[in-house]
Amino acid sequence: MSHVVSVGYQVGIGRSQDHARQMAQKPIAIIGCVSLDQFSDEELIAQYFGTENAATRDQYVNELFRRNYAKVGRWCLRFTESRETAADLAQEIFTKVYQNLSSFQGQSKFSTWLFTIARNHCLNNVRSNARNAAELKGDVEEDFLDTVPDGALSPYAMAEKESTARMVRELLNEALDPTEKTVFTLHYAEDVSLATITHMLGLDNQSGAKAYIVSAKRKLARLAQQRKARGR
Amino acid sequence: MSDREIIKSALASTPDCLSPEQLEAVASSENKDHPHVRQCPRCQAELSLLQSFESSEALPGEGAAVAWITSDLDRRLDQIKNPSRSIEVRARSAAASSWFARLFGTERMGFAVVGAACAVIVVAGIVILRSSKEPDLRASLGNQSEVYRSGTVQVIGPVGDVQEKPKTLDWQPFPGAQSYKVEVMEVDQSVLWSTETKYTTVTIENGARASIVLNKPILWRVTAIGPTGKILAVSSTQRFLFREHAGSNDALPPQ
Repeated sequence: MSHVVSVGYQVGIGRSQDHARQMAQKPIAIIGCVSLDQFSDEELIAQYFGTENAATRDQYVNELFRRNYAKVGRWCLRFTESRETAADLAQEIFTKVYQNLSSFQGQSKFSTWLFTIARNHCLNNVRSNARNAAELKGDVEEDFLDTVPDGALSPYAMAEKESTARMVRELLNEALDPTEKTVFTLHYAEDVSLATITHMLGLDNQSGAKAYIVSAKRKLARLAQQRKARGR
Repeated sequence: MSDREIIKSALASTPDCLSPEQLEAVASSENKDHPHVRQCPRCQAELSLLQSFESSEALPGEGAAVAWITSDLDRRLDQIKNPSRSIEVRARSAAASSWFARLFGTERMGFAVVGAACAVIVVAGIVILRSSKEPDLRASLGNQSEVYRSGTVQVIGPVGDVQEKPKTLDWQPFPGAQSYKVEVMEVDQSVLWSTETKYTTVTIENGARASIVLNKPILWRVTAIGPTGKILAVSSTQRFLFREHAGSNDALPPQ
């Protein structure tokens, strides 16, 4: 993007909108044409709040959004089955961002703030989908309980006996690889269906996220047995 | 306590878990070994999601869809910034198009129109009763070019025998349609899946797609809906059949 605007302000991100405005309104020595490409996302926000002219303000926020369309679109696409639904989700996210832009405090990068909004919005959308809830129920029943190896001590039963989530967390951390941890977190902590996780993480193996759950369970059972043998 | 609840509590966020800002700091630091992250599977997962969001790397097959979404979002920029205005505009156009509501808007006008309607009915009744002549038969009714009927939505596909499970349903735009209702049905016309879209293509949802199995006919139709919710046109009911295609995993019957 190479929009050129005829403003030249010192840019910066403060901890409040007022601060941002104050920072942005200090003229700098270089006055002339400034390409929006030169601004970081955070600087664009500071300029947005520091500019009175509505048309110029719009240019800053338009540029900010355009830079992040692909990022948010890609993220939404992984939560949905179609590009149309993904575009609708992305639109809602950007509307939320636009309406809450003044609450961006500059304590993180804009993209991290955007991630928080996109993550929560998409997860809420997935959870609020009734069909998804039904799928999830199915996943749990058939993927989780039926695949416990016969005669093996369930790590979950062991953890329940000791009544400690810390123990299970430790087991999960020790036994699982990074992808399995992500699959477990999304499925069990965030209630995301296995089908959505498969799509979201781009898992191209035949059974998708289900295979990761099954393999993770085996690892957990093995580790639990080892610990039991060691008398832990 | 069920297995699921135990796992859920183990993966729940704790006070020690890192905020997105802290995760960002870990992600951007050279030494990514944070003491809490090292032992917390949840924070590791969150970090991985953040990195995936930040990464501009597209998964296979994503590129074209992302490009489409990007240009679509650019077209929607005004709606993004003025979501209520776009709703208001829709509401205004719906109200403006309701001439019937305007006509019957006042009580006096309402009575006048009802009275006029009654008079017309009485006169028409008298004319019909007094007429002994049989109605003319109009030869031109057989000529299709003179038969007026509502338009139909023209379907692109899938239609007939298909060698791969279709992923999308496509049709031609219908003039004035604000949205389209799409129904996928069994041969007995029981609806397997339906959805509404403002585009002329729709991706078949996985659940419905799972119902498309070998040698089983599937029906579908599209209804064009106007800005006020009025049905403008309906496509004829389409039928397609997924036939076996060597080398296609989708051709395998469900387990």
